[in-house]
Amino acid sequence: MLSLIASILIDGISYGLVLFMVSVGLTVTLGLMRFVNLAHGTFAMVGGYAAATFVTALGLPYVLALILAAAVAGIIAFGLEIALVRRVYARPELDQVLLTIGLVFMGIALSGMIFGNSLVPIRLPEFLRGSTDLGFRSMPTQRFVPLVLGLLSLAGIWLLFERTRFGVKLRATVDNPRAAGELGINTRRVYAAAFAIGAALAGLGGVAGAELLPVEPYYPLKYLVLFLAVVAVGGPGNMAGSFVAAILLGTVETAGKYLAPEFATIALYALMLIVLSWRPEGLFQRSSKT
Amino acid sequence: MNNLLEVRNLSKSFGGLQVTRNVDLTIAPGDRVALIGPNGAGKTTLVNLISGVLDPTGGEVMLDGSKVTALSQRQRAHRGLIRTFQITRLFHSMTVADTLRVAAIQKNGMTYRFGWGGRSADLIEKSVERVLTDLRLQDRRDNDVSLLAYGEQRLVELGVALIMEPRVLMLDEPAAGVPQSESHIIMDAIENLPAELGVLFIEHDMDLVFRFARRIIVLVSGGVFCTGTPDEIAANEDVRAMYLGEAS
Amino acid sequence: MTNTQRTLGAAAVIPIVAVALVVIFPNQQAFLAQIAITALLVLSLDLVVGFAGLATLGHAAMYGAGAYAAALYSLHVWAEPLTGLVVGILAGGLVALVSALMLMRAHGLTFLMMTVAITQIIYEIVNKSRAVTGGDDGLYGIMMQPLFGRFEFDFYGRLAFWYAAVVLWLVFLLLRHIAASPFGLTARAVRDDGGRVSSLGGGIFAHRVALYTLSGGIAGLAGALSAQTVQVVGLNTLSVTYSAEILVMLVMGGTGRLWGALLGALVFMMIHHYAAEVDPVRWMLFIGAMLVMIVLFLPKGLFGGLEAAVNRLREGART
Ligand SMILES: Nc1ncnc2c1ncn2[C@@H]1O[C@H](COP(=O)(O)OP(=O)(O)OP(=O)(O)O)[C@@H](O)[C@H]1O
Ligand SMILES: [Mg+2]
Repeated sequence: MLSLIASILIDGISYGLVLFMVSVGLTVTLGLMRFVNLAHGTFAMVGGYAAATFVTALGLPYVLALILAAAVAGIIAFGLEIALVRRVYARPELDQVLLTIGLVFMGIALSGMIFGNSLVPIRLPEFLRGSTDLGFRSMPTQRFVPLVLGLLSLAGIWLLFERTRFGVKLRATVDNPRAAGELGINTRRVYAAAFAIGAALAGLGGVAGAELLPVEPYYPLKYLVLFLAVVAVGGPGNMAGSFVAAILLGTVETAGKYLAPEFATIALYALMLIVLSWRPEGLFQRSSKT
Repeated sequence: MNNLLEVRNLSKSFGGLQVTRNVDLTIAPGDRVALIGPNGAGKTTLVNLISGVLDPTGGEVMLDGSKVTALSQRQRAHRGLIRTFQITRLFHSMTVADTLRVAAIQKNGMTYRFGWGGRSADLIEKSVERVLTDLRLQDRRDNDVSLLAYGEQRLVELGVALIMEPRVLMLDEPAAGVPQSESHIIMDAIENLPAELGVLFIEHDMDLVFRFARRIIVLVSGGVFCTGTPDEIAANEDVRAMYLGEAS
Repeated sequence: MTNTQRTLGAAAVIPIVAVALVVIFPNQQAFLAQIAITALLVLSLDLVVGFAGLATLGHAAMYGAGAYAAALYSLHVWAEPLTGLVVGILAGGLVALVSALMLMRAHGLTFLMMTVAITQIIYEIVNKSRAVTGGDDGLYGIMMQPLFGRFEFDFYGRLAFWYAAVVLWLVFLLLRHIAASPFGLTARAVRDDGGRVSSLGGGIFAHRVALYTLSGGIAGLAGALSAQTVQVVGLNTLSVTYSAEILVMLVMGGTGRLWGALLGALVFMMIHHYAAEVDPVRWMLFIGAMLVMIVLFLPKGLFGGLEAAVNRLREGART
């Protein structure tokens, strides 16, 4: 019994950390920049494909491939932001939803055309293969990757927001773009950079989580709801909230898979529905009266 | 005469910031009360609290002697408590006539009618025509509200409130942003409001305040600083120093 | 043009287009019936997206509910078509009503996510209830009795097309009427600024619930038509993907005008019919690119674009 709970917790947390890495950029775009981005999962998928290509085709070491994959996702996002996304910041939500669904479809089609429709594995280095004995059970060693990277990302994001000039600029910009502009902040560049950083983290999450969320063309659509759920439950714009929500949803889904695999999906969606009808602004936001 | 509206010890804090402090005020039928005070004094917040947009952190709002503090904005509107907004809020996809019709539909409880037949529909058209005429907006009937000059939008904002045939009307800076050349239409409209109506209006323009108000409440830092007739307020050294001097 | 002329003109469009389509595509009536049914579904979606201003990825929930209900009704109760349509309306409306009670306080992303969650839950429940719904095999062998007890449903879909087209036509006229009514006007007001409507004493929650239920009833009607004419109901009728697809159609045509829904469904289905068989992956790329283009260059959809072009021509003719 105890070991079952421990198993659920360990798997759930490492799954939750993957969700957190992929979704944290989304909470910034959605909550702070007020841009509804349904295409965010595409960046995680891009990271996954890039890493697989670097490792398999170019023979780069895993850790280097990981970093480059995040960079690729970030750069593609940066380009998209400049070419498309920034044109719809001021447009109604529906337009943003549609534009990004369009991007999702294009991403699915393009990756299907380039990489084929089957799962693409990312070959692991020696030290991550096999399993580690935890005493009460053994765990695939690679599941430590999301644990480590997830916690590193959390720390990195905190530092970025609270301790750097970029963080100050971003907060000033989302607070009051006009005033920030008058203070000499290049608000367009801040937005583009925030978008790209979020995408790079998603790319990292896509690689780190490849065991749990395998890389395939339909990735952005298949897990879209999951990523959005993290943001919605955590409260858009609330990064700590996203962290808790990611762990919570990750653990609930994992528990569902252990205890009642038939109903895991229903349980996850039901939880989300309950949370959102009870607190439409997310678990950790004070509800505002309309 | 009985009070229409009575506010007792009303308070509101946003987090640690107290923006309304123990405000008391009453409005009787026929009252013309001006609410003045420097920017950020909490005037709009007070209107939001009275109309039910915001929940107070303390105190009561009474309408016709019964508590309405727990009622929604909507229920208060049904009891005749109507307000306008400092920044015009009109239905941006609609024409002037349709905007007024929407108000009339709510007023007459016709939201769930799926057609325009019947007497109540005529009633709606009549009240829309009346307000259009009163505000001299007949020519604008079929124009999109979002394409009107701001002064005209302010007029429509007032028209929407008038259609509701309120008993207490709260006007949040009705003439703000209206060019001089058009402001007389708004004044006339305020002047011609039904006599028995209780009116609370926020205004920065002292000429307007002294023209319409029979009582003035000065709000400073969320609390009632003083209240009195226009003459008393005009003579009050503190108010002159603190507010009137600054405004002129 | 007077109002009456305009109303009559609008009422004539669907019959004229229906006849034209039958003349142009004489051997494809089953496919044309599909277009009519899809147009009906997209029309119902316009009530939520265009009239309520809510982006939803869960509209298929009501469509699927109507389809499954009508299919079960004809398999187990009575295979009479018109009462089957009523069953579809009730099923779609009921699902909409129950979900609206949860949904209609939310907006934006929260709303979108909740529509997805509800649809996924219904999908999973239907998927797991094999004994009743056939699970992922779906329901088949639906045989309808003759319409009005006289007209047999034929193998080529001739009756199916006219049946669907007439229902579409009637619903379209009904919705045009409702759009101009106090209810429709209030809907637009709630979409533009719900808080302002509350300040006038309007109950926006109840109104949105009513609008969503109406939309769900029509989606259920479309589902029932589909079950009766295709004679198969599958899980895909309940999917989020299908919800996204009809949203694309609506946006392609243009939201909030009803005409856009018709145009979008027609154009999308036509392109799909001829393009998707070629290569589904390229089809997806095409749809994605179309969406991006429409958002960037044609925000009012094809109908809005057409309208602007016609207006420009008229102006040109006048000067
Ligand atoms: N929702 C809110 N959250 C936090 N603070 C608020 C909120 N609404 C208003 N305030 C603060 O309350 C104070 C009073 O604002 P209010 O708008 O009531 O002033 P006002 O007297 O109407 O000013 P003005 O003359 O500029 O219209 C201001 O300091 C404002 O920043
Ligand atoms: Mg104010």
